[in-house]
Amino acid sequence: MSGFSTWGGRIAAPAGFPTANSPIGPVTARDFAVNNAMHYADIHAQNRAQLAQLAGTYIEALSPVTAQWVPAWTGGSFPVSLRPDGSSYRLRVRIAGACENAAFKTRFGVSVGPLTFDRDLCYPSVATTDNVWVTGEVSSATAAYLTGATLGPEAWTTYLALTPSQVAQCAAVTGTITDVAGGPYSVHQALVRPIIWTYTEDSAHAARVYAFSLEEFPG
Amino acid sequence: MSVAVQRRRPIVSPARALVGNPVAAPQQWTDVAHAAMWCRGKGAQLIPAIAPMTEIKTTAEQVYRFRVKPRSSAVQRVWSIIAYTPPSATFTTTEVQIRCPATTGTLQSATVSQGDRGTEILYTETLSAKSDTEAEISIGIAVPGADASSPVYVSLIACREQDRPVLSEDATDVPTLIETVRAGEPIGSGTRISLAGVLASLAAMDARRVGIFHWASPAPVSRSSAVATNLLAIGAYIQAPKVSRSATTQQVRWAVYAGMSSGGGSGTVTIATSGSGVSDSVSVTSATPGWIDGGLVSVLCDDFSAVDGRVDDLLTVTYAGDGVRSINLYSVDVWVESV
Repeated sequence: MSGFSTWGGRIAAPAGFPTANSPIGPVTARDFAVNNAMHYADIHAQNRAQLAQLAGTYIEALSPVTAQWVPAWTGGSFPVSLRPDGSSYRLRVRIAGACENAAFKTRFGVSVGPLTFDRDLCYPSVATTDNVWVTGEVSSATAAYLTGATLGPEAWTTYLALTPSQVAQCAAVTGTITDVAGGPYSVHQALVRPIIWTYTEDSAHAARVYAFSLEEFPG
Repeated sequence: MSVAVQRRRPIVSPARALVGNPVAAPQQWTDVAHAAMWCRGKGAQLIPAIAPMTEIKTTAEQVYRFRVKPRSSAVQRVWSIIAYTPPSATFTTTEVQIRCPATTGTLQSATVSQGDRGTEILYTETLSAKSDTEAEISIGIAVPGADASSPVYVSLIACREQDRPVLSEDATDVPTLIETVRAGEPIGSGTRISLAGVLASLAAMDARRVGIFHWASPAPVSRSSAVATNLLAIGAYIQAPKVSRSATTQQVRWAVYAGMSSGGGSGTVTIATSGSGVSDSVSVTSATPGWIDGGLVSVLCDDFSAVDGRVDDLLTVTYAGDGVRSINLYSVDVWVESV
């Protein structure tokens, strides 16, 4: 299961709800209010990135040094949704890539971490955490969606996530307003940034990214 | 009066509301109220991050247009942009001017350089009203010093609603006054108080995952051939939120911003999905670019029985001219209209 609601979907409100003198029994409370509140929070998970490059184009990255991970693309910061235990919503990863030259293998990785780069937490060659996801060796020059796994103990194959302590590293306070034309107010968030990494075994032959998505789900 | 929004999403155990158990306000109704307000206050991603990889080499403002149905609770939008100069540029640092909406927004300037491939510029667009009306949102990027030999590249555009730390006690935010669902408080049915307040918050819920797929370019991609061709290098997997218990699909709306090179003919844009079997087209006839609504289509939605909630619905976009006149395509957008 990847959600927290009882029924895995929204259910209809009892007739006449909510009106004065309408009884609110425990079954109604469970089946309607609790289930629906949890389901809404489940589906409020957001798509945070959805790259799709034009036909004939790609994001190309080349390491200046042989056999080294380099950032191919840096995404925008976003306030990742948090679960009650302080960990992040899980982030489903999909990436389509290929080598420029099939004779020279590449690998692809995705990290989601704090805005200030933390090498131990986000660099694929040293990270041992489940917020970094990497593919195996790719030896095809044809664009295709790739499989991989996170580098931490969970070794998740289709998603990654941040632990409560990693989320704490991403804490940020930003100024906003209370309402339209409202007064200033600070909003506390866990701001994270995705990075697409590529690894090329030869410094003359690049890795190419064709599509990438990062979708929250409650887990 | 305002009501605080929780930073973490609350979870209510249904076991706390079983027959025979006492009404437990702190772990039951307060948490349901907090969950409803978390959904209301937590901002949606209007435009998931895209990588335009646009090369700006003129001084004219470059306009990226998107079509979305925002959420009524938002009061600010936060735009993320990454722009940088290539190593071949005749300068290492140059100014970019950003405004949202394009053309009419307040200009914000920043400098960008060769080392800024990972440096994000944030632009906060403060809204004049809370509205969930479907509309164009846009960003304009101008480079006063750009020319053919000194361009600026744009590698990231994203837009999200800023999280609301507090909700207002009004008919748009529909919060529950949390002190009225605490232990010891009487059960009542007044506006925004007690259990009726919680249920009203649920009834007014807008927990949409807004942005599903967006592509935009300030300069159009064009095609004169009447034989359709793929817009994208590879299809994009999309997934809509699951609403009802038995649902396997969810309706999303799509639109394009396009025009023809001259009037009198028609081009087409078609979206298709592999998992849900969608195939829907729009005709483009006007020589003046504009929004053309593709209507509602049903795509696969979350599968909560799977450990990762994942479904596989591959979206492809094709476009064609009429054999004589070219279609000019600027934007393709897919978003969730309601849940």
